[in-house]
Amino acid sequence: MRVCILVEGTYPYITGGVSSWVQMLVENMPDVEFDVVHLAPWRWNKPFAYKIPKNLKRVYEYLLFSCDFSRLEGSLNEQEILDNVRQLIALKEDRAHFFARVLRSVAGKHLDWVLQERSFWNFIIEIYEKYFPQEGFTGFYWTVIGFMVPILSAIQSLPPKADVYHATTTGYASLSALSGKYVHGGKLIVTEHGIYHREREIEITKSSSVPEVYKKPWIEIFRLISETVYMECDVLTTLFEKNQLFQLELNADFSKMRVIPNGIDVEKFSKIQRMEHDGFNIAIVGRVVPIKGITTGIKAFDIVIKEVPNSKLYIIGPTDEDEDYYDKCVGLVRRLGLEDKVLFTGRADVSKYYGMMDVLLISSISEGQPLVQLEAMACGLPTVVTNVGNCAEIALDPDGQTGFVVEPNDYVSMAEKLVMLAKDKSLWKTFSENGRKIVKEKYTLQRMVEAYRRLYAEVVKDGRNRL
Amino acid sequence: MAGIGFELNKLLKKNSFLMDIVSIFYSANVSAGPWIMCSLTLFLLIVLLPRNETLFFTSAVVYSFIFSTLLFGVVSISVTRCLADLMYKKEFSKMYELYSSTVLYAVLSSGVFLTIFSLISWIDDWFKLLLFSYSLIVLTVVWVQTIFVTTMMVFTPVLVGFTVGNVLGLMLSVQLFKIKGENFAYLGYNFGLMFILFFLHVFVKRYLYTGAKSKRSLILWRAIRTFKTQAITGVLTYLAAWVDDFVAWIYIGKPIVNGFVFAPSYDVPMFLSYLFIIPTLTLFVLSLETNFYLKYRMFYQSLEENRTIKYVKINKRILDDNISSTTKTIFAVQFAFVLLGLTLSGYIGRIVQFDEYSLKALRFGILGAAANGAFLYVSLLAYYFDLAEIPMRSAMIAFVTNLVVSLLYLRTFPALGFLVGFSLATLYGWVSFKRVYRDLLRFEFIRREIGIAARQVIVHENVEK
Repeated sequence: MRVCILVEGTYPYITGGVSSWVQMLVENMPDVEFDVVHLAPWRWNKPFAYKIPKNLKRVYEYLLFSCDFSRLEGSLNEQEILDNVRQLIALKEDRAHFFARVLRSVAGKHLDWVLQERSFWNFIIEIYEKYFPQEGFTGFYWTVIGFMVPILSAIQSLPPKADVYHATTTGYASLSALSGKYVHGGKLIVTEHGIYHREREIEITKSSSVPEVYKKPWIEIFRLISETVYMECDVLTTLFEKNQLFQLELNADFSKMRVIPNGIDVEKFSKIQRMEHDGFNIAIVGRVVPIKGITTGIKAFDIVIKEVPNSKLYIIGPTDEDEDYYDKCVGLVRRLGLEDKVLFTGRADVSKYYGMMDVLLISSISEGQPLVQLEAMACGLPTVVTNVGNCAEIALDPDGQTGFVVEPNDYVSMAEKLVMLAKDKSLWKTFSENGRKIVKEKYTLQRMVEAYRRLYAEVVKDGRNRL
Repeated sequence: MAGIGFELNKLLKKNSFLMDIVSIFYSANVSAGPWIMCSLTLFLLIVLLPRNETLFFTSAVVYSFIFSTLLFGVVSISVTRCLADLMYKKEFSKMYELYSSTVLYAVLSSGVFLTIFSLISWIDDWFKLLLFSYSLIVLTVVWVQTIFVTTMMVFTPVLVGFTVGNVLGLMLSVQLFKIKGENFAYLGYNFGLMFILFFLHVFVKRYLYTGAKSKRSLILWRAIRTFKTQAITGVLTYLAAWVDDFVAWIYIGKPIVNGFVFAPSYDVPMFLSYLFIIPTLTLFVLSLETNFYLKYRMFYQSLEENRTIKYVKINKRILDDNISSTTKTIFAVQFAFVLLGLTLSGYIGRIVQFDEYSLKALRFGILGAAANGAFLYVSLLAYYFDLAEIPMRSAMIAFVTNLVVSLLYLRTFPALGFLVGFSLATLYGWVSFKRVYRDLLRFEFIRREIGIAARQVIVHENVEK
C-alpha cells in the first residue's frame, strides 16, 4: 500500500505536534510505503528536523506562493472556469457541491495562466464593480491575487499516485490531496489536528495587514474549502470529539467521521525514572513561538517564585523559529530578574528532562491534542494546561483528573495552580498516578497506529466502511 | 532627458509667448543640441568655406559625429535609465561614480576605435590624426555629459555651452582657415568642442560631486548588464541611422586622406536633411516632458495611491487624449516641415551646389529624417511605459531594412533605405505600442510577476536503504 501524507509547512522541516505525529505514524508502519507532500510557505534553507524513516520514499516540496504561467492544457476553457466561479459567488446554498465540481474539472491542470488572460481581468473588474466599487482598485487586485495564488498553487501541486491521500489539514494540503484523488483515483483521509478554518479565521480577524473589508470573504473562502473537503473526503478524523462539532457545523457527513486520539510510546516515557532534585521544576515543552504563550508562562512563573522560591522554569524547545519572539521572552526574563531561574534549553531531547521535572505547563493559546501532555502524563507529571484544543478534556478525564485547567493568558490562575501542586504533595501524587493510568489506557501509540492501519486498509477496500 | 520636465514646466507656467519661445529653444537644445550643432555647423562650413579645400575637415567632422554616436549608443539609453533609477532611490553619491565611469568608457572606447582605425588606414599625417582623435574623443564625452546635465535639470549649461561652443567653433574655423588653412580650421572647431566639454564638466561636478572618495567601480558595467535591451537599442538605433552612409562610402565614396573615405554627394545632403526634424524633436520633447508627463504621473499615482477604478479610468482617458493630441500635433508639424523642406530643397541645392543625385538624397533624406523623428517619438513613448523591447525591435527593423534597401538602391534612389527603414520601424513601434497601450491598465497589473517564484517541485529521494 502506498500512502501520501500531505502537510502544510510542517513535517519534515518544523518540529511540533503534526510533525511528530507524521514521524510516529510512518516509523510505526514499516510495511506501508509513504510519500510526503510538503506545501511550503517559502523555500526552506535548513535541513530536515527529523531523520526520515526508511519507508518514507520521497518528500515532494511545493512552494505555495509560486506561479507558472505556461499554458499546457489545451482543453481547459478559462471562460468556463470563470463562469463557474461567477456562479459559485452568486450561489446562496450548496456552494460546496459546486466548488467540488469546479475543482474536479481543473484538478492537476495548469491554471496560473488564467490570471493573465483578458477574461480574468474582465472577471476581476466585474467582481470589483459589483461588490467593492468604493475600495481602491490596486489593493483589491493584489488582495484577490493574494487569495488566489496559494489556492491555485495547491490545486496544481499534484501529489504522486497513491492508494491513500492523507491530509493533515483541510486547507491547501487538502486541495492538493483532492487533486491527487481526482487525477489518480486514490482515497482521501483528512485528519484534523486543530480546526483549520477556525485557526485561519482567528488569524485573519487579528491581522492588521488584511483590510477589514476583505476579511469576511477571505474567511468565507477557507470555510468553503473546509466544507468541500469534508464533503469530498472518504474519511474525516479528528483527535478528539469536541472538534467534530466544528466539522458538523460545516455539514460534514457524520458517517464518515472518526475520532482517533494521538498516541505515544508509553513504555518509553513510563520508564523514565524520577531524579532527586532540590526545589520545584516546571517544564514548558514546545517551540518558542507566540502560539505557545511562553510569555504568559514566564509571567506566571514570576508569581510562583514568590511563593515557592526554590522553583525553576525550563523552556524546552527550539528557539530559532521566531527569533523576535524568543528575544521578547529573554527580555521579559531579564526584566523580571529571573535569569537564574528560567532556562531556555533550545532544541533538546525532552525525555532527558522529564525525570527532573515536577509539573508540565501548557500555556498555549491554541493546541490540538498535545503529545507533550500525554508524554508528561506517562512520566507521572501532573499538568497545568490552558483551555484550548483537547487539553482540558485530557486533564479533566472522567476516569481521573491529571491536571488543572486555566483560561489562555490567565497567568494569575496559572501561577495559583502551579503553587497548589508545589505545596500539596498528595494532590500531586493523585494527578501523577491518574495520568500514568489514563495514558496507558487511552493514548498508546499502538492504539493510534492500529487505528490508522485499519482505516487505510478499509478505505482502500471500499472507502466508506466504518472502523 | 530624465529630468527636463520640471524645468520646462517652470518656464511654461509663466505663460508668456516669450517664455514659450525660450522653452522651445531649451527643448531643442537639450534634445537635439548636439545634432543641431553638427548639422548646422556642417551646413555653415560648407557655405562659408571653399568646399574643395576642406574635404578632410568636413569628412572628419562627419566621421567624428557618426562614430562617436555609435560608441555612445552602447551607453546612451542604459545609462539614462540607470540614472533615473539612482535618482528614484536617492543614491546621489553613485551618480558621480556613474559619470566618471561613463566618461572613462567614452575615452577608452574612442581610444580603442582610433587605434584600430589608425592601424587599418595607415594615416601618415599625424596632425590630421590628432585633430580627428581629439574631436572624436571630445564629442563622445560631450554626448555622455549631455545625459547627466539634463538629468540634473540644469539646462542652462546645455543652452549656454552648446550655443557658445558652436559659435566659437564656427568663428574660429572660418578665421583660422583664412590664416592657416584646413587643419587650423579644424583646430578652431575642436576648440569650440573643448569649450563645451569644459563647460559641461564644471556643471556636472558642481551638481553631482558629493565629495565621496572616488573609487573604481563596476557601476557602468552593471548598468549595461541590467539594461542590456536599452544598450542594444542604443547601438542599433545609431547603426540604423548611419548604415546607409557606410554603404554610400563603399559605393560612391572617394578617398580624402588615408583612412577617410567620404561621399559628399550623399553625406552632406543627409546631414542637412536632419535639420528638418529639429522642430519635431523639439516639439515632442516639449510635449512629452511637460504636459504629457503630468498626465502620465497622475495616471500612475492613481494606481499607487490605490484609487477606485473609476478614478483610475478617468486619468487613463485624460492620458489617452493627451497622447492622441500630442501625436497629431507632432505629426502635423513634421508634415509641414517636410513640405517646407521639399519646397525649399531646390533652393538649398543651389546654395550648396548639389547635383541631381545629391538633390534626390536631400529630398529622400528629409522624408527619412521625418520618419526617424517619428521613430524617436514612438521609442520615447515606449520607454515611458517601460516597454524597452519595442524600441529594440523597431531599431532592428530600421537597421536591417536600411542596410538591405541601401545595398540595392543607393546608387539610383539615395536615402531610400533610410526612409523605408525608419518608416517601417515607426509603423511597427506604433502598432506594438498601441497594442499594449490599449490594454494598459491590465498590462500594468499582469506584468508584475516580481516576488512570486517560478513554480517547481523539489523531490527529496530517501536514499537510505
